[in-house]
Amino acid sequence: MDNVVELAGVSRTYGTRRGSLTALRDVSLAVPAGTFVAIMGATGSGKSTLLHCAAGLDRPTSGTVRLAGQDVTRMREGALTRLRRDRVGFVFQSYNLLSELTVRQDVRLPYRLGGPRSRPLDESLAEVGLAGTAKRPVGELSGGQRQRVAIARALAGRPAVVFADEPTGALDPTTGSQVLRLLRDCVDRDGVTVVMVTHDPAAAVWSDRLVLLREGRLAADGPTPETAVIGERLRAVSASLVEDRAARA
Amino acid sequence: MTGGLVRQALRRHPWSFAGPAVTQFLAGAIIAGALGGNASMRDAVLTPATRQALQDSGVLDIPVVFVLISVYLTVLIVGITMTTAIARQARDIALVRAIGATPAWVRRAIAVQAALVAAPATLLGLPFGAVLGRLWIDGLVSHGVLPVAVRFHTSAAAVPVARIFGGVGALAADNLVVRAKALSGALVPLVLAVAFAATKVVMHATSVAVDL
Repeated sequence: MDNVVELAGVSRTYGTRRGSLTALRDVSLAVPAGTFVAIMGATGSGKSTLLHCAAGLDRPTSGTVRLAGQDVTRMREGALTRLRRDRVGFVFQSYNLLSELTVRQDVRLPYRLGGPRSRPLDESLAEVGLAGTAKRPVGELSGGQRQRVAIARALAGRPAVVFADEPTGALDPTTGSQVLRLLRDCVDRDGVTVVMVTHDPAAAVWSDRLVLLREGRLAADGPTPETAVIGERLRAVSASLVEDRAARA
Repeated sequence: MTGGLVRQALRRHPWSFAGPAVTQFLAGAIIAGALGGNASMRDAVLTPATRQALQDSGVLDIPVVFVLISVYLTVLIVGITMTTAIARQARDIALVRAIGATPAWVRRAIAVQAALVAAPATLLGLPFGAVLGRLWIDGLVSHGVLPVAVRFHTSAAAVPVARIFGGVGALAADNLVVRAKALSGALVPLVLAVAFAATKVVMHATSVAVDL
């Protein structure tokens, strides 16, 4: 199976007023097509940085990132923008929709930006349970409905991979489950690849594979266990982190 | 096709465009009044001696001074207020950039926003300026500063001049914001200085054209 996302020896360091901050350290990861990967870790472990580097929203300080078969670390900004537009879908915690547009306008936004021809709008909306809402302003929708619109937009251009950053972070558990069910169905039915960052074991359990980050390094990578086991592993990682920091102090 | 971001900006942050709109309105008014005044004095049928006297008194320079002041203020204030208006859209701009908008697309969207705000504001300002210009010239005539042969009439140059300088301000704002990452704080005054210098050059060219 081809890898849709490949990171090799990726590090990301940010310059700060106090010096430099390394958010990712020598991370290597390969995501085969048609899989659902959850990335977890404590706050500041580098989850979002990993997602941003993998999605071509940020460039690593060292290492290489291949996205849909193309090396994005050497790509010019225009080509990288087009790659994101044509091959990548995004779902963010805060929905990131243009709230003054209608559902139709928001879902078709990547196409209006010059992206590939969208799937039929009715089909996209029916798939996420929003049939008949095309003309409604996004600002009038509930949080769960907005996230569904975001998913419909992410999937409209038939992307190679969907990156989701805490997609259920602003939703209640029931609505969150519905959104996760949608992402799961995309993987199972359409073979879409989903890379999701989450801090919630109940969300991660919907994935096929769990990647744990600890201080910017891969701490664990394997098939997703049950919710309780995910929680235990997270606690273990957090506990070892506290111990290490105490020892260093 | 920049409608998404333009519609979002104008509906979500309508008041943030009040600054550029009012500035453009006032600039249109002052430029229309001043250029009209300038054209009225230039086209008036005067004896050489009367014209020389007006020249010596400096009255003929007043419209040029008005235009210069309004041009500087227009470029700077439209630049500053548009920068604020664009900064309020930072989140929306980041979103469209993430999902595939190129910097050129964002720039086009901002240019469309600036045009949609500036064009009607300038057009509204022009007749207002024509009325002010007429009152001004009539006032100077009634006080004996200008001879009665001077009658106010509008100048066709007002529309392009007002639009050009509003556009320069919007362009400066566009470049400041869209290229913000590449600009350090120290470079901002430099960009404004370049815009300032460009204004002088364009104004000089305009006055030469008016004289011709």
